[in-house]
Amino acid sequence: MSTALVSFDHVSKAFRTGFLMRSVAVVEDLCFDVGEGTICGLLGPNGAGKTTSLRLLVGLMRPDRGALRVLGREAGHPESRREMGFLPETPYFYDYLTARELLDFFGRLVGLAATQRRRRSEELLERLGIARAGDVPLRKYSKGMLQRLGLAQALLAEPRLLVLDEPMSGLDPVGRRLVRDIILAERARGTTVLFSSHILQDAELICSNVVILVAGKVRSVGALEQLLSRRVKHYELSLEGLPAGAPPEGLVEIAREGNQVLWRTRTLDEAESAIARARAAGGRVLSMTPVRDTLEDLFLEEVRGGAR
Amino acid sequence: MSAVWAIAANTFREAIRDRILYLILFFSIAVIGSSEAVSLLAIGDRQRIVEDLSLFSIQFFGVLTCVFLGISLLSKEVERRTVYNVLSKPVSRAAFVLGKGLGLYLTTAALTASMTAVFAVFLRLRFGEFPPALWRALALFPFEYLVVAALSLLVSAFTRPLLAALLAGTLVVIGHLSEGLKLLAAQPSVAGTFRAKLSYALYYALPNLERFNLKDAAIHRDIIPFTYLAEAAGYGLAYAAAVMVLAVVVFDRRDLL
Repeated sequence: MSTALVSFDHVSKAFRTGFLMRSVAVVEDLCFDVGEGTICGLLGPNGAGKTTSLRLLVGLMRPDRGALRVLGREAGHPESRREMGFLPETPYFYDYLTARELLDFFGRLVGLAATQRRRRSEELLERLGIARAGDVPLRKYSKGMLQRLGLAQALLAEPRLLVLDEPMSGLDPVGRRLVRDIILAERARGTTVLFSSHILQDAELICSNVVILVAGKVRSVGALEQLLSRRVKHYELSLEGLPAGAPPEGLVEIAREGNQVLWRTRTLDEAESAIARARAAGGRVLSMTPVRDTLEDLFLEEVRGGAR
Repeated sequence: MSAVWAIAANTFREAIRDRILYLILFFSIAVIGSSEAVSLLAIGDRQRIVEDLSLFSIQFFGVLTCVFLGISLLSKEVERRTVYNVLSKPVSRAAFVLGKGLGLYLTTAALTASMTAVFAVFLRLRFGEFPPALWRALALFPFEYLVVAALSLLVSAFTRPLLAALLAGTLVVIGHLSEGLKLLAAQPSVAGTFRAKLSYALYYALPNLERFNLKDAAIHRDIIPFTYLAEAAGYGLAYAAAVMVLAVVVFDRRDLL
């Protein structure tokens, strides 16, 4: 069991809106941990409360109820951010600065010495592919370049915890791949990553854990492998050498080519029974594959409020 | 403390890369430069008219800079969301507010130093002297800026620039008239009444910016005791510190949406 670097304990937050200052719950009773060394995806449709959860974590907002601890301290305490890197959704920077000036400024804020600031800035600008634009004022940067710079500033102090709000947003496929690779490289270095996203393909590729938020509440939480392994949709059997004819009752023939067939069964018992019968009929089993739900299946089911 | 300096330096850098500051500087120097032309149209000692207009220009444009830059200092950071990146570092909100305030003050100080230098050179070239009495008037301007900068920062901590401009502008005007409240409270006809108590309360709560206004005394070469300067400076420091604490408390309680 890894140590929890982030711990949401019954955290709720509401905003007051309108003339009558009506209270609208944005997140309610959030309970989940982010273990050290994991890549945790905070997933949910628009308006699910992902960004609010991350802003609470960083201390930009305070919870109305519950306890939120980050890196052993209460969220909001400046020291809770000492070993944290944060990329806000669509980052905005001082547009009168250049990327080098900006990283130098942020380097001062995190307490890096001048030589460290220069070294880390150059490393990160190079790594994020924006070194050539390092002396260009940020007002001339594209959205994708700003996103890359946002990631650079988040990585500046070699954080133990990286919090990224929609890190793939605004990036082209090359940029998305780059961000994915960086997240994986950071994890290899031992960094814990918590990121929000609604791009499920990216999340499925890199997450070890997920938290699915719907309408401000946690709908599903846990290791991605466990969440999806519990959810085998069906089994596919690849067989050869069977005589032509309809599959046994309860099985569906998906494809047939030459003397090879592909059958689908719903349960493991049905699959084992079909294998026994196929062998008795002189056939050979080439493979049996449990076909699991994808993260997208799980996500859509949670969003629609379907019961497992 | 290093975070405060870093934020202050960045605020200063933002201001000096903004053309509006140069516009303010240009106008203030233009007023100083044209003061002699104005003095030709007026009756009286031409040097004193030049001194009066120039001191007014330095005071007015300094205050204008504090208000103009100060009112959007915090709200702009929140609206443009640049604050997210700064406050996601190990920086307290208090350090952020103090850094912004210090940056604003450094900007105003640089502007005032430039205006004062132009004024001093102009006076020496034109009249062959820079009377020492003027330094006493000039010495208190920075304390007025300190109070105005803190007030601008306070209103910027909870409201948008337009309303903040209105509030800060009103406070500056009231600050130059607040002596009237004390005079009102001291009237024998209201002594001991609620009106008198309220007037006193308002007098002590509102800034008294006239304390820093020694232009007339300096121009007429009145003797300004050092104790007066020290008291006014102490008042400015204490008032600005109290307002800054309030600004920190207000900003610290805000959710940054």
